[in-house]
Amino acid sequence: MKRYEFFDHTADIGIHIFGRSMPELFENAGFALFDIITDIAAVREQEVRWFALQRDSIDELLVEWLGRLLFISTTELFLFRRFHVVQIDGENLQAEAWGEPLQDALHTIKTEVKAVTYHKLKVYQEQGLWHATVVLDT
Amino acid sequence: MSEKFSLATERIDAYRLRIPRQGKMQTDGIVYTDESMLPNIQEEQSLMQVANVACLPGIVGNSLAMPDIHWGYGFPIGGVAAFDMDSGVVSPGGVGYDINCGVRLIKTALTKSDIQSRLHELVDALFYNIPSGVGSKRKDMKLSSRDQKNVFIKGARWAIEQGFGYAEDAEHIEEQGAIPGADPEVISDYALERGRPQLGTLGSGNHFVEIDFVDEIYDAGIAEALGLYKDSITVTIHSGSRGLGYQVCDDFIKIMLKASQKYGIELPDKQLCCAPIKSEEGRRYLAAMACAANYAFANRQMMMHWVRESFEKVLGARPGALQMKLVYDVCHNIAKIETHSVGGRQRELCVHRKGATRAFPAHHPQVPDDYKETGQPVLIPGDMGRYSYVLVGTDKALEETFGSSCHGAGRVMSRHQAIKAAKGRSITREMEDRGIYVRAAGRETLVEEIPEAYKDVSQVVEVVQNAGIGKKVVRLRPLGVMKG
Repeated sequence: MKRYEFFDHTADIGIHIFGRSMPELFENAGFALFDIITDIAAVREQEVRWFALQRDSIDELLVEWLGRLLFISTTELFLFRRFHVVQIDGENLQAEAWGEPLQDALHTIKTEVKAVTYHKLKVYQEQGLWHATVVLDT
Repeated sequence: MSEKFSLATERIDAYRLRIPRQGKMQTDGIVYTDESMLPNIQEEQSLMQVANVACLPGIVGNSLAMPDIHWGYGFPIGGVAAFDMDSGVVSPGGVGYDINCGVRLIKTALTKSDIQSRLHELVDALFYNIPSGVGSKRKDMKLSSRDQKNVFIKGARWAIEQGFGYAEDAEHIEEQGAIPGADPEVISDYALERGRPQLGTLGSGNHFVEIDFVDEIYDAGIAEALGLYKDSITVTIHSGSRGLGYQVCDDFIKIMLKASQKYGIELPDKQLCCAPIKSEEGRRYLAAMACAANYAFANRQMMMHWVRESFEKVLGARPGALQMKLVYDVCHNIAKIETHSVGGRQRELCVHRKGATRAFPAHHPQVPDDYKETGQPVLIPGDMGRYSYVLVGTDKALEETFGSSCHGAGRVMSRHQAIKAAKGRSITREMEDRGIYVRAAGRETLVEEIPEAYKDVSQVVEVVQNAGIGKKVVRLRPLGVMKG
């Protein structure tokens, strides 16, 4: 199963994320974000960050999750590569993510993602698979 | 995801398309476009976005889109919409994440032949002096939180007081480089943290510093009044409010999602979430947006200072000797409280311009004194390989589009498509063959920005000119480009 694929959006980047479960969907969403930002294979798992997030709905929770990862990445110049959802329901997420500080000699930055938008935002289940669509402002 | 929508549309004239009021629309949509550009627009979902904006409460006049319209999130890029101060709303999605992303144009006393042999050195100096690229930050400057608050309130004037430029620069900036009503108290700690290290940095993506020459003059009188002559060198800076603006928008979208429910506003797209202008949420957003807008003015002011320094150093000129003066600085992503004549009555409105430029005519009170006879300069950058344009605002723009015009070429290819199209090509080499020296912080940026990823800006400007919502003054051609 593909973790995610692009859908074309003229000015920005649309992504369609897949998961066999809701936790896996959120983990794959984190992967997609950093696969777009950097060559994720070059990122090592050296530090872990914890997340406890709350929003009113599952789709907003997805934006919150990606937005928080992006915030840490841009303020600390940190790259993530592995994501683990500890617990999730429709409104709450507890997760951990591993990565390391950005180093020019080791990492390349492919795209600057400015923000995670709410346009075309959808989290749904279809034929036993979880799907999400989200547009990143780049 | 490429489903086509069947919205009823009808042609008004060769340059305007109407989306008649239908469904939950409160008013008509009007798109400035000609037949040749329409197929691209219909391919994507931007017409639906014009219709969605027309559904928002308190909209005054039509939901408008400029000729560079393309698919955005929430509002279309190129969208303009005005709202009544009492019954209308303000929407962070109608401004965008990069609050006061904008353009400034600097003129010089140099001509093409003066710099042709020094072009590489000039671009390299810009590259060295202006931090750029993803996560670019200044290591030499730590802003205290008091400084940051002053930036939010004073905008470009803060930078000028710190020695970045001259007092007269502020006269040629929209709102004199500071939008009133900024309140640093409404900025979140997250936004402060993202903004602090990034003041005085270009960023990446479509942000750039470009050295151009005046290649064609359409109105000699106005060109002279703006100080633009055939073959004279200009420098354009395109950047915005960096991580600060992105975070302000993000913070307030969360607030506005709740506010939309609270005030019973039905949303055709979550990204259009909004609140009444005079509500607590609306007022706080406008105060935060002004902080981010002013930060962007200061940012471009600082970069202009380094452009001046770079030129003076490379060319061995004394400070000021190259007559590098600001022609104008315009916002592309902004909501402004402005007075407009609607149905013969003067009304205060909140005008959203999302990827659109203010284009006020000659004699408008907001136009600087030395441009009173010409109208406000409107700066339209194209792609890095072709042209950019300088226009001035017109009376017709004031009448039809709340004094607004287009802001650029507009993309036709997604970034993903552009990367595919550029596979195996050396973009630097191709540009060099066109006589343009390009340096970019990241290869990917260069590839995403290939000329054919954009509409031909000439076509966009032609529609603006023929529809009368802007008047062509000069065309610029790139010589050297620094991409973020």
